[in-house]
Amino acid sequence: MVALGAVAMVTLVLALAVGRPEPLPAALGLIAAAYVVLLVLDNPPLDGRAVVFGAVLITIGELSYLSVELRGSTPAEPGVVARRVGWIAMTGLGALGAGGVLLALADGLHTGGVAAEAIGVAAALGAVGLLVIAVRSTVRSTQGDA
Amino acid sequence: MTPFASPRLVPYVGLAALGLFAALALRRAELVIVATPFVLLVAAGLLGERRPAVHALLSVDHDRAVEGDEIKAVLDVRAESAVDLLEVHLVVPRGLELVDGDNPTGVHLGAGEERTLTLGLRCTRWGSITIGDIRLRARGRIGMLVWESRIPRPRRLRVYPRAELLQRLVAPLDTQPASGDLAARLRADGLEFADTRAFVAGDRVRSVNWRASARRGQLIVNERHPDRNADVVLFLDSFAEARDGQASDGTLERAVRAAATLAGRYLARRDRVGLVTFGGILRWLEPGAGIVQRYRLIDALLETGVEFSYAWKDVSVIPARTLPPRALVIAVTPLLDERSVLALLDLRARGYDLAVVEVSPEDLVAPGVGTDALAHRLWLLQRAALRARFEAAGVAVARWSDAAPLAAEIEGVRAFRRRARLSRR
Repeated sequence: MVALGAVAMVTLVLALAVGRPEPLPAALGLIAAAYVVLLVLDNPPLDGRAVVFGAVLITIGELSYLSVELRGSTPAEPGVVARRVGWIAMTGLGALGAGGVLLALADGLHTGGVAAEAIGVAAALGAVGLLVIAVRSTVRSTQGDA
Repeated sequence: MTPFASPRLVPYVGLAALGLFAALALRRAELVIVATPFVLLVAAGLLGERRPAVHALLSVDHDRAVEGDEIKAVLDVRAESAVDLLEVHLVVPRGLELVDGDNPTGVHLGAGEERTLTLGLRCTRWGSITIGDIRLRARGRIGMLVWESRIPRPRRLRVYPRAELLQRLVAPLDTQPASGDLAARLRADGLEFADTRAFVAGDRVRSVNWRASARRGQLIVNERHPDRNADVVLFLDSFAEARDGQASDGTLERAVRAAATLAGRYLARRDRVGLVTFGGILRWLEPGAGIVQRYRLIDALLETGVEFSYAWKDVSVIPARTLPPRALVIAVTPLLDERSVLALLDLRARGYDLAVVEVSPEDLVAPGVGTDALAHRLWLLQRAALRARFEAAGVAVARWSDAAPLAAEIEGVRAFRRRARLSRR
């Protein structure tokens, strides 16, 4: 787990140092993998740190991509970067809130047996379905423009 | 505007999907909690942000300028809906360079907000330049998609060549019947004193030189040179050019500058000036005078470019009216292409009064080392032999390089023509 985390940090620092976005997904994935390993090793009934971890992970991702974007050649007028940072902070807080709600739901349904399993599966499928719909609508609008 | 995925979209979708499937596989609700922010952000970015409507207009404060002048390009951008970051890039074409302002630049626009961006541009090369290719890239607040568009707002900008320093011009051997600022060789009514002779019936009394008459004891009259103009044809060789990279001036840029300078000076002297651009594409302008002719000439010069061609051309392709009899032909050429060299010698053989301004490419070619240096020396010798060939035909050659101003080389031509005339007598 420590090794995974170290590799993730090195990858992240390298990506930020060279200003390229390509290594960032790998770095984020490695951080997530380190958390998965932690979960598997500790095996808690329900880990409350997941809320903070999810919010921190997306904040790291957003700030890293912002950092790489700012290396571009386009100088933005004053205030644009501050607005973006504020928006990222709001995203992190939103992630905390959403994670908290989900954690509460999971905690309530923890002893629900098959019904809770069904709700969990439906939620996962629903999230994937939401992604598919979003991507398809984007592809359709891109084809329409072309 | 055309949407494109931002660099974050695919990684976030992948992370969310991996997290959700890992949650199912490992039966851990915590991974759903970790993946949920990514799912929500991607979904909000794809479904919640609409195509931005952005308009852009370009205006330029001048449509004509001279090399070295600075112009202002004003970009007005307006957004119908809010755009978190709008990157605006005006493509600066060759011949212009940015001296003031940020290009590209990023601005934030609220709904219905309009912004004016001012860019200072310097004209670095003469020519007819089209400016107005505007590239826009808009990004919403979430930024999962970026929207790009290219807005053509073409504006034509004519950049005239800057004038070279020139004090005196090459005088033609013959003049034309129309009046001008040039003292003709023949004797008639005019201002310039030519000689005296004995009075004959029909001479005007005002022509009598009373002092000479008193000395000689008979009536003596003054003869004068009339003020006439000349026909000058600028022969611009555009078959080939030499250039040392894109940044510095090649022989064509300097040739056009020299031709424009000569045209302006001869027209100011009330001569008629014509133009023949002899190259892959033949262009011509019959001799004329006045300010309108000056603009015609410069506009024709601005269209000049080197067009590659294998076609053999000689002077027979030039319309006869473009080369009037007794015209002074001034060739501005790098003497690089055999076709133009032979055409010039052909013109001389046909009796045209010819002078050559050689826009020397020799400074643009590095000597190299070893066999390259030997080849360079041979090439220089060949060029010297070519110049000697022209001079043997009675054609003065001004070798114009960066080392000396055009005026100095034109003085050399004037000196050569004085000697050549004496030797012919």
